[in-house]
Amino acid sequence: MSNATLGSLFVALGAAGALAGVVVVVLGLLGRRRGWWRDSAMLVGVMMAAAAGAFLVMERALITRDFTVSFVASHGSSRTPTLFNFATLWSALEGSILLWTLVLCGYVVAVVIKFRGRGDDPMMAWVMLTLFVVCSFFFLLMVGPARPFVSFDPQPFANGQPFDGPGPNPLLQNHILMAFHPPILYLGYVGFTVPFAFAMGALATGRVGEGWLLATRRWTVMAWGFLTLGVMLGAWWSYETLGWGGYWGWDPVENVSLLPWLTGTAFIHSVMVQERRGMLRVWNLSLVIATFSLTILGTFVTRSGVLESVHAFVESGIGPWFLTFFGLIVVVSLGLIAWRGDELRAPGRIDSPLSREGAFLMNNVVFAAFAFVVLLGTIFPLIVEAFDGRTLTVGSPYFERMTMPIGFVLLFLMAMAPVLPWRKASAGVLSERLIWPAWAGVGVILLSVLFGARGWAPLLAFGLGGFAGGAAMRQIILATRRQGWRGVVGRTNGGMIVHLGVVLIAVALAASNAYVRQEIFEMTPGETVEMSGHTFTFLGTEVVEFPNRVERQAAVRVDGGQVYEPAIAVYDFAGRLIGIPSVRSTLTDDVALSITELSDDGQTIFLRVTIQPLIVWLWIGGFVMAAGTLLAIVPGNRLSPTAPVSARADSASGSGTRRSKQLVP
Amino acid sequence: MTRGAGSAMGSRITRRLLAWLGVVVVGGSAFLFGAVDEGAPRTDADRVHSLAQNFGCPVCDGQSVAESDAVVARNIRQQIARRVDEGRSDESIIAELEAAFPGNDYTPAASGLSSLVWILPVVAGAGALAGLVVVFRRWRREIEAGATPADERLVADFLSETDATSAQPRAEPTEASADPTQADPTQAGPTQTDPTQVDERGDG
Repeated sequence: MSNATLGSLFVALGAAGALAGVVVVVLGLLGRRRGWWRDSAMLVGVMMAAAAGAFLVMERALITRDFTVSFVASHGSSRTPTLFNFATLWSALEGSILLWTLVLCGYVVAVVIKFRGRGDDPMMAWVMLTLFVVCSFFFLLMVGPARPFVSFDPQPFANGQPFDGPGPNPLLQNHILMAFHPPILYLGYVGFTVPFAFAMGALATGRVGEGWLLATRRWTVMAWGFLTLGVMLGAWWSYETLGWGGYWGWDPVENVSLLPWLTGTAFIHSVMVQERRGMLRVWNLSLVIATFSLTILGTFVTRSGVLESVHAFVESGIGPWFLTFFGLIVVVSLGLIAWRGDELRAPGRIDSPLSREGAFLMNNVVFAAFAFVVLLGTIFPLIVEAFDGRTLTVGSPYFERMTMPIGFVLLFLMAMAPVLPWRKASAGVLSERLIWPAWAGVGVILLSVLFGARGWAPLLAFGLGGFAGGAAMRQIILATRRQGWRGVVGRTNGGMIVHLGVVLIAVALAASNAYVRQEIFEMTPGETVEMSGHTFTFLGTEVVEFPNRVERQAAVRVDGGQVYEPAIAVYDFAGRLIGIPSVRSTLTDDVALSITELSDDGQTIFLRVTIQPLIVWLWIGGFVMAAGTLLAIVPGNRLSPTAPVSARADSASGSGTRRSKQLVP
Repeated sequence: MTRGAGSAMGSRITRRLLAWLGVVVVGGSAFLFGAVDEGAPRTDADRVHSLAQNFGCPVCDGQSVAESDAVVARNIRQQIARRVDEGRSDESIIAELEAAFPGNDYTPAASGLSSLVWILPVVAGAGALAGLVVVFRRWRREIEAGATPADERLVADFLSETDATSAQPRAEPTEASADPTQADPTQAGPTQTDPTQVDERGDG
């Protein structure tokens, strides 16, 4: 059986499994037949097998260069290096939908395994129904507008050479991060389906208390961690391959990946208010729904070509499908919230703005404002065009000006919130707990000024960064002093490590934005130029042939030491010409070299030099955030999520006694 | 309280006040020094780069003139460099470019329909802040008013319910944690039980 046929069969099997799941659960719910929805788990197995089968068939087709599969003929090639050949699967629309579906099925399997003891619970029936509907959507995409397995008849070329494909977009096959960034981003995007399904289950069953939140707490944090890492790796990839010396351009595709991150971040904070105080129910449901629907909206924007983007590698007709699905999610969710309105009204109030929950509330308002600014700026050109037909661009100056104050407020809140007690804080407590973080902030400003940093905006960012970092460090030190190594695990402590990562990124962002220097030099061999205390000597060019490309490399000696070789690569098969930058990274600054023009005789180059401080700390900060997320999902030594404090402190059991000793000095 | 303890506490408060005064004076003056002194003056190359960054390349998808290697982008970069050389202002350079390549200025105009993109977030932000002020005021009033009959009824209902069900296993135990007293201590950080004691032990 050919790969195309086999793959199509798997896709059809998956679609049938997902649709059957929807039908079985609906019938089970209508007839109150618990056995039906419990046994729908078998259909999950079918979907998983189908998605995994389809994925493996596509990889086999790519690896064996089976050009009878249309996807391989249009995106694969015999010249693509092994790693990028494997990653070709997600370099184009049909394959990336396939990867999305595989990840989604993986999450559904994990849900079934994790909650196998609760198969009879009607809540789980609604959760499974939601998951089956989402799976059906993605499988149906692969049956309809985004078919990965279409037969193709490869003919030899006119010159007698056997058929060969063009390979993936050159930009997607020249950096190793391409192998990691999309799958990790998808793990994040898709992961939010699980809390969304539980939110739907809570609304449908009317059990809108804290149960669904507690059940999905780790899932949400994990999805958020993957999304964080995915967005960071995307920025890194863009910095290393696009050659303009930047890492974030406020491009529509970048913005839509940030949107679910913003609402997701708001959610993982406000969840704690609901768990503790039973408040903000509607708000939390809305955030989960917003996060999930924004991932769908993001995919629509990335894949439909409605907005111009440097990252829009594929355009296709699946836009209307995604827009319809997005509309459906929004309408159904809002309808459910309206229907449950009365039960969602939670008793309780926040006693004082100067309290942990008050700070979380502020945090949420600020993150919502952040998301609003990013969403508005991203879709505003579409709105204006619809109204008066004018084209307009909303670019980095807008986003930078609008988000900078938001960033300052968030850093300030990050310093305050961890030291605030629940309920209410007194001035005495605050002044005692904040004094060391405040001195940390002052110390950072002093050091920055001594090292020559100038300008109010970066200095304010550094100072607030020091303040927030100091607050996080203080919490970590107190916790480890009390609990030993357990002082860095669990949600709160892991969260503080995440905060440290955020501070690193904030400082690096502020520094690199404020002190970036860029210049383009026209150079001939032997010439040396100087910029910001660095020297660059152009030594000459050479032509290097690779199986899939020809590179014209320029040798440039930096600071009289190592030679760097930015290049212009010609992927002659695809007829594409791309620049390949070369970056020297140190802990203090980055020098990025790229060629904007190269004369035919190789005697004259136009060399773009970008010098930015602290770039490397963006990536380090991202990894610290990921590590903090991991620590945050490590279970603390509690017995069960609901074990009441009083019972444990009174009980004579081993762990209870130990705990009470730790907590009551 | 003995006189010794009282004066010890007094001196602690004085010490803390001095510490905060230090934060304000040292931090404030370092900040002012760094904020007022502009450091190295902006070079022409810096101006060319920042202008090129703020104008879209007319033939590229989502790249600025600074980022793109397209011929048009190169020409515009040269044009910007010439204008900077001639001593023209940033605004007039961008205006000239926008006239030649409409719709590519990255900064939306603050007039007409496009001004909405600036105004809406400010309005929404102000609205959200006002909303926060209103709810906190209402909450404060409620706290000052004490428990209403409705609150007392709720508590009575809850107590009678727990009495009735306490002998049976709960259908869904996770729902129970709505009660703040049952929250988990590991999730609360050091502020859960008696944080001031911990802190004092920690900070000396």
